[in-house]
Amino acid sequence: MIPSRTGDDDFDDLFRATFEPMVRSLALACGDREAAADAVQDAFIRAYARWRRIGAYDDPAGWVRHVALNRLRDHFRKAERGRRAVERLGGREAIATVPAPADPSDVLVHVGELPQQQRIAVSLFYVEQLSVIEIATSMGLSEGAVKYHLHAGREHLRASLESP
Amino acid sequence: MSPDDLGFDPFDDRLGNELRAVAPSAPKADQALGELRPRFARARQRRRAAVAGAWGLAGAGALALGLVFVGSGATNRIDTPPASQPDRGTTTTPKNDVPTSTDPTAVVPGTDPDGTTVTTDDHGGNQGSGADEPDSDNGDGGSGSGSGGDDD
Repeated sequence: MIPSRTGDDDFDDLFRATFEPMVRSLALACGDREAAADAVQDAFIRAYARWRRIGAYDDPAGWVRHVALNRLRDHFRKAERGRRAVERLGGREAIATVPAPADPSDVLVHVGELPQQQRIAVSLFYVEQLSVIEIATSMGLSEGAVKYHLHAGREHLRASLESP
Repeated sequence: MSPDDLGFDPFDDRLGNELRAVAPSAPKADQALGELRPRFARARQRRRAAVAGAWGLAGAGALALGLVFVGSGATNRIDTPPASQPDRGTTTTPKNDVPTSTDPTAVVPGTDPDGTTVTTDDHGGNQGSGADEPDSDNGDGGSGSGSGGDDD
């Protein structure tokens, strides 16, 4: 956990320490690097504007990650609405695509098969290497819920990756 | 990686290594920080303006509320005269301005001038039981049922 202070230098330290791993883990969770980078940048901008308050938190990085996750959810909710609207207008057959056969050894494909909460929990745990408590803070869930999502996601990935 | 109490095994190390290897790359933090500086500054300015506006609005609201209270206090005031005024005297009027008869010869209905009680014979029409006139013989006995009230 990054120690919290309230000066601009401290904000820069937090940004340098957490920006890259945060973008990578959220990009893995959502499958869209640009959307993840935009969400994390927006979250840092909001944190900078309120830094006197946010910097005094125990875990300002957790606040930034939480805001970024909310932004990502909004982004994909809007994208989903747009996709459904296009489907309604054009018909399902017109935009249906045949998915490429998945490589059974491709871990990205199997991560993409996980439900959203499991994807996020797995990404934050394995890529950003956060503790369960930090993940719970970032996702706005209880520790028990995070452990459940981690366990379910890991078992799914184990079954997929270890199957012949 | 903190195993917590999730029961991790070597598979988790392998999974973590694979996920970190395939996770998309991110822009360099220093480069991103430099590009974001103008947006940071604008966001802080907007935030300060919004906070100042909110405080100004709250102050104006409080002022307006205060003025309303002051105004309502002035209109609801009751003016009372001083407790003692030299030109205002106290007048009393006699209470017995209703004439009452004090004639000793006046007969109050139902009383004899000599003080005895007079009863009029109702020939048994009275609802009484006849106890006041034990020797009454023109009624229908002491029953006082009222049925003989029209004997006259």
